[in-house]
Formats: sequence, structure tokens, C-alpha cells
Amino acid sequence: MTSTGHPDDVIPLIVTSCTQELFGCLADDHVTEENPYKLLKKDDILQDIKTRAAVSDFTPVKKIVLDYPEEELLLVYDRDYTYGNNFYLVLTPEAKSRLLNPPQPEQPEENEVKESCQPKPWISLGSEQEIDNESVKETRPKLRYKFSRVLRKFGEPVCLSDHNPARAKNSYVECAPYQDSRSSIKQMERDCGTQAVLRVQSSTQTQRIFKRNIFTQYVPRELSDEDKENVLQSESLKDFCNSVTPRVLQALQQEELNNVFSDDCADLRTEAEDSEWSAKTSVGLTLYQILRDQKDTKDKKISCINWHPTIYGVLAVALTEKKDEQSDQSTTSPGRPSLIRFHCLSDPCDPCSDAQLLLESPDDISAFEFCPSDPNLIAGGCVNGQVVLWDISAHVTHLQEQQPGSEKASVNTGTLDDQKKTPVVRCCALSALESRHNAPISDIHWLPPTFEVSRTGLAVENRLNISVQVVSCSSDGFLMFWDVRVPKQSSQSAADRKPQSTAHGAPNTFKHLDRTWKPLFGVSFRRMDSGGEYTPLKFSLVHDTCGGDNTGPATVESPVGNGSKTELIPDYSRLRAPSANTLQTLEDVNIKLCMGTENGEIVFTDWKMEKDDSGQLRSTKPLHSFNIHQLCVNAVQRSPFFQNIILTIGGYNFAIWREGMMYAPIVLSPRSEELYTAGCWSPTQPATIFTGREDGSIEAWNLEEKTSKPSYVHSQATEAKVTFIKPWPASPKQHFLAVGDDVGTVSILQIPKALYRFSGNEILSVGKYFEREENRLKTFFSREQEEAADPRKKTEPEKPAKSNEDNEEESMKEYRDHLMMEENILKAQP
Amino acid sequence: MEDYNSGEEVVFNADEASASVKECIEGVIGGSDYNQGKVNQWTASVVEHSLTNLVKQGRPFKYIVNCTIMQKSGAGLHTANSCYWDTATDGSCTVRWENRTMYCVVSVFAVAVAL
Repeated sequence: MTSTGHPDDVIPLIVTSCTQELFGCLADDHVTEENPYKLLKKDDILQDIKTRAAVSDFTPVKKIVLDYPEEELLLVYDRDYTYGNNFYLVLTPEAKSRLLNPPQPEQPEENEVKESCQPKPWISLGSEQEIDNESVKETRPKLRYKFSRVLRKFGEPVCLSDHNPARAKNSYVECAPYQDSRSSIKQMERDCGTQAVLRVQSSTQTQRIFKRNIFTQYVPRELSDEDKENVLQSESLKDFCNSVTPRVLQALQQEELNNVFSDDCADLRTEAEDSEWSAKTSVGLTLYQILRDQKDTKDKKISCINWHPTIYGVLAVALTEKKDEQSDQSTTSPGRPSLIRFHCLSDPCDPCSDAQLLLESPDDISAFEFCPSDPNLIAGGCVNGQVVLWDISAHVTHLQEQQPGSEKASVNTGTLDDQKKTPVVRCCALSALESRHNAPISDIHWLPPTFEVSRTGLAVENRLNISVQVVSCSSDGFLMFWDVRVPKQSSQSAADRKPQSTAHGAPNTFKHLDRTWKPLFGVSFRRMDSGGEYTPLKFSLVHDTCGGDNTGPATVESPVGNGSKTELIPDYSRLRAPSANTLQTLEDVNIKLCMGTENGEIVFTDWKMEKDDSGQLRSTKPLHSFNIHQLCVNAVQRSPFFQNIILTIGGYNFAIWREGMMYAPIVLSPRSEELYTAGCWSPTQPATIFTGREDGSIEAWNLEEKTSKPSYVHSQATEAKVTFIKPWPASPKQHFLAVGDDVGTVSILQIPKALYRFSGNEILSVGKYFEREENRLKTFFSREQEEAADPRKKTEPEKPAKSNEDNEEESMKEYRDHLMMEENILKAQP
Repeated sequence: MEDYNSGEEVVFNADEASASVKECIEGVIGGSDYNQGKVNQWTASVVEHSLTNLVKQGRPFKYIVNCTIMQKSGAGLHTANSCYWDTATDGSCTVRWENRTMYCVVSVFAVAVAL
């Protein structure tokens, strides 16, 4: 136990036990660890030192005790021998008092806190330097001067002028900028601003092409609360619920087991078709064949194409010379006869684009049509205004033999010398030169077999139910009606008179008409707005192929041989036109027709003729005319599914009309960049339209999907401008589209399934679509008319303010009446 | 306070003024490099000393002293001034001083005390 350093004011001391007893500081008895202090009287200690001398424990500290100023000394029991011995003596009274009275930690006096904070002295943090720097102090006393002048100098005028910095040498200072390579300036502060903006990509510009922003907001009408309460509490309701609930529950349960309203067969079919269609295999029009005869079709354009109605795969093509717009000459170049060429669709692997049959005519044919009752008869209109008839019954077998897949007949028929030589059929009848159109015939149609037209333009009954009359129109403004039967007036002598004038080799079917054929009558249509007449290019009569016979457009009659129908088709050569008086007039026949003119107008009119002032029969004014297409109308066609829906194509757009709607087309396509040059309805899909464009592309529009752009575009179907399109459902699996163009090529395209697939719902939905559009137009126009009527009232200058108030009152009254009526109606229900 | 009595016309002497201003500038920022903390102080001193020197000449003029100190960093500085006064008696001078790190431009305008 080394003695560690002890403080100066204590001295370790050994106090033996007898000394302890003597002074009453027995270790662990009088003095303990907790209470180690013992005050000893100084006198006692001195006494002890005297009595015991060297034995006394206090001898070494004798001097200290003697010098101790106070009476009592402190002896501290040092149990742990921290200072080396078991006791230590405190030498100084200060230490003693300190040990005995250890300074207590000061209690925080509550009084101090409650006093308000004293203002603390200001501690400088450096800001006073800045203030000193900025403040202006006078560093020296101000100098004062006094100036004086001679009195006479006072009041002299002063002359002030500009001091020009440019001329004085010191006024302009320039420190030129330079490239500082060692610039180490750190920009401490920079002013910049930021703003967060959402990345916006969409625009809110309303598209103007056929998308209309329609906004409707409504709130359902409800019964008031007390009414609802009454109803809920009523007895009858409770009874009803109780009685009906079990049955309803039973029905619901049954329905889960078996849906009685489902038609399995229909579901099966549509599912299969949808899945096929959704696979989207080859949606495009695929090229099947190209028919082109180089030597004969040079510089000619296709003017008309028609598929043979009964023979599979045969189509007839008419070509016309392309001529300049300015020249009026319509002469054909010699050596190039004008022909209608019949082609057969052949195997695409072994194409044969030769014509199988040629129909000769005196001039280029611009339009022709097969007779709907007898497909062997063809009526055509020439460029020189004449109407031509052909009979190809002699060559029908030849055509049938040329069908793809059939064996070539080894026996040649009739007039053919060599099988390879293409037979040529001369025309059987030509209209009289003096009664022809003055301009190229632009369209020709057979009248439907349901009625015929008398000489005065009335529709009369058609006893034989076959088409016997032909209507032709041309750009000279006339619509002519021709009858192919032997005219009543002409006697047998006339027919006999010119037997030799029939061309050699031509059939004798229409011998009676040749060269003397005159139209029944001709009509021209006066313009509605200005003088002059309309120049019709295309027209459309009441539909002639729709009727009770067709069970559905998808079904195609199997091509029949020539023989099986002969008993139905009478011999046209024997037909005689009955006297007009014997025929009964049909009142309810729709004799309206829709015309498209050269200027792009669509004219709805009928050809009823009435006597005007001079006693002559003239046509009535047209019912309606609209100028929708600014350029020539290329096609006017009725929908094969809806009798009164008409498609017109011309200029840069096409339009769909409903006959009878007097305001506007129910659908108008957006204006496109390319000219539309041809178009037609799809024969199997009620909402599909095929259109041909000037750049040779074909578009397929689906009106149900969208009317803003075509649903399919087949660009460059042909090299030149498309001039004619004709679709044909050849078989249930194969549909063709014949496209004729400006350089004399006919392209046969195969229509993909998606574009010819027919489903029964479509007719209904398309019909509804047209109705919707029609209603929209009706409401729009009726509103316009009302507004047109109203301003006339409001332009009255007198009492304008009163009329406003009156109107308001009236409308409020009406509204109140309406509310009352509503309530009555609603409450009237039991 | 000094009195000055003279019947002559007094004209501002630009050369003398520019010389004295130059001395002032030298005295204040002569050998120093640009120090952003001291620039305020420098400009104040330059202006003050220049003004004192000018006034001590005892001429009957009102003085306007303008001081600009710019750090040399490759930027350009162009100043110009123009006055409308009596060109016969009034005048101004501009002193341009530079060292390695800064430019100093001081303009002094003196307008005669018209009595």
C-alpha cells in the first residue's frame, strides 16, 4: 500500500485502538464510513500528547495541533486507507469547514426565472464593419470657401449648351473585352428561374373532319322523397313483391341452367366468321388477272365493264378512244373497229387474255348493259349518240366452253371456221341516225321488267314481265326512252322493205328496228336555279335486280345452260308493242330517277311529262338538285340492299343519299386529295363501297366503321386512272372486282373475304345507320328552318324589348306547363 | 475657410485635374490586386481624396467625382457622359487607370458657381 499523495490540508495519521477508545472514535463504531468525522478538542489532544509523550499517536502532529487556530480539530476516519493510514487529520479550519459543510448545489431560485429577461449586452459578429463601410463619415472637417464677384458681372445671361462626349477627348472611356485565359472568377451568385411544366403532347384542337363534339349531360328525374316513401310503404307494392318473388327466383335459377333465348346455330356461324376475320389473313385485294390486248387497246380507255349475269367468269369490256377535251371529232381511226370484247377468266397460271368474242359497232361504245331478262341481249350507247343492240345467243355456247376448267369442245359450232379465230358479232340494230343523241351517250340502262313506259311518259303495266325498254342519257341534256319491240304503227311492209339492210351475218332478232329505231320519247330537264338544262352523265332508275326472287345476295345462282330458261324468255323478235291504251297505268310505280350531271349536280326528278303553255309535252321541273361534287359525276348507283339509298361519286368526294330526303346527303365523304373516277357498291356487303381514284388506286370504304377515311386502300391497282369498277360475286368463295383503267387494261382483282363476307345483321345495322343519319339531318334542318323563320319576326324595329320579355314569360309558362304535365303523367301510373 | 477674390474668368483646367486624380488613385490602390472585400473602401477613398484635392485648389467650382473599379476578367466596359452646361466655364475630365488585375475609371465634372 503505497501512500498516494494526500492533499496539503490533511495529514494521514495512525490512530491506535486505545487512542480511539480514549477519544471516542472507535473505528466502525463511533466513526463509520458514512459518518467519518470526529471533532476533537485541541486541548484534549495536547493533553494526550503530554501524558503519553512518544506513545501518543498525535506526537508527529504536535506542532500542527499547537498552531491550529481553532478549538476543535477534525479527525476523519479513512476506512479505505486512501491517504495511507486509517485516519487523517484535517490541518486547516477551512478544509475542516469544507469537509463538514460540503457546498450544497445551489437550488435554482424560482424568483429569478419570473423576472423579465435582462437585455443582454450586444455581441459583435462583424456586421458593424459592413455598416461602417457603407456609412459615410466625414474624415476631415468640411472646407469652406467664399467667392465673390464684381457686381456688374451679376445677372449676366448665361449660355448653356451641350457637351458632346464624342468630341471631347476624355468623356468616353473604353475597356475593351478580351479573352482572359487565366480567369478564375467563380460566379458566386446567379439569377435564374425555373418553372415546372407538365409535358403536354395532346392538342385540344377540334378535328373538323366528321368528328363532332357532342356533349350530353342529364340527370335522372326522381320522385320526391315523400313520394318514394309512400310508394315503398304502399300495400299493393308489398303484395306484388310477395306474390312475384318466388316465381322470379325460380326463373333466374332456370336461366342459369339453360338460356332459352340463345340461338345456337347463329352463334356458331358468327363466331366462326369473326374468328376467321380477326385472323386478318390477306385483307388486301389481290390481283387475279390482267386482261390487255396490246394492239387493239392502244390509246384506248375502258369506258364500261359488265360481267355476264349467268355465265361464270365472262366479262364484257368496252373501250373508247381517248380524245382531247377540246376536239369534237368523234371519228374512229380507220382500221380499228370499235368493239366490245368478251373475256373469260382463265386459270391465273395459264393466262389467256385474248378476247373470246367481239361485238362490233359503228362507233366506240361508251356504255352498255346486259338485258336483265335475257342475258343474250346487250344494249349499248355509242360515242356518236346512237343506240346499238346485239344478240349473242348464237355464241353463248362458245363462251361457255371457254370457261376455265371446262374442256375445249372439239366440235366447232356454227359460224366459226377456226377455233382460234375470235368470233365477231355484228350489231343487230342501230338507232336511226336522225333521232340519235347529239352527244356521246354517257349512260344506258334497261328498264326493270316490272313496268314499262308509254309514249307519253306514263308508267304502265308490263304484261310480259320482261325488260323491253331502254333508257339512254347523254351530255346533250336528253334522256331518251327506247322500246325494243316492233312498234305498233309500223306495218309489215316496213319490215319487209328493208330486209337487205341488215348487216351480213347479224342475227335477225331486231331486224325490225334496224336503222329506223326511234325513241319513244325524250326528256330534258330544266335547271332549277338558272336557265338551260342539266347535262346528265349517269343516272339511276328504280332498282331492277332486287326483288322477291333473291333469297339473299350471298347466294349465287348456279350458272345455267342456255337451254333451261328458254321457255321463260320470249322471243324478242316476235314481241309487239301493245297499244298504249290497252295497258293499265301504274300509279304507284316509282318513276323517279337520280341523275348526276357534268357539273357535279345531283338531280332528283321524275320523267313525268306535262303539257306546258304551248301544248307540247315537256318534263316537269326537277324535284331537287344539289351540287355536291364540283366536277363530273362518275357514278350513280342504288344500293343493292336498300331501294332508296343512292351512292353518287364525283369530283373529290362521294355522297350517299336517301331518296326523299330533300335536304342533303345523309353521308358525305370528306374531301380527298385525289379525284374519284369510279365507284360502286359491294354486292354482298351493305356498307361497303369500292371507289377508284385518279392515281389508279382502289379504296374500300366501310360506312359502318368510319366515314372519314377508307378502311382499305389498294394503291396502284392499275397504272393509270381508274375508269370503271364492277364487282361480281362469282361463287360463294370467290368474288372478283373488275377494274378498268385509262390505258385499256382490265385488272381482275380478287376481293378478300373480309370485304365480301356477308352476315345477316349487317343489313339491319346499316339500315339503322342510314336512318340515324337521316334523322340527324332532319332535326338539323328543321331547326335551321325555325331559325330562318324567327329572324323575320325579330327584325321588326318596334317594341323589341317587350318582345324579349314576352318571349321569356311565354317560355317560362311553357316550361311550367311542361313540368305539370310531366308530374301528371308520372303520377298517373298506378 | 479661404476667400477668393478675383475678377478674371476662371476656366476649368482639365489636365491639372487629371494629374491630381491620377496621384490619388495611385495612392489608394497603387500596388494592390483586386480584392472584392476592399473595393468599396477603395472607391470611397479615391473619390474622397480626389475631391479634397480639387477643392483645395480653391476655384469657384462645384465638383462631381465618379469612380468605377472593375476587375479584369475579359469583360468589356464602356462608359460615356454628356452634359448640358456653359461650355465656356465648365468642364470635365475622365481618368482611366489600370493595373494587372483591375481597371479604375474616375470622372470629374466641374461646374462653375454662377453668381
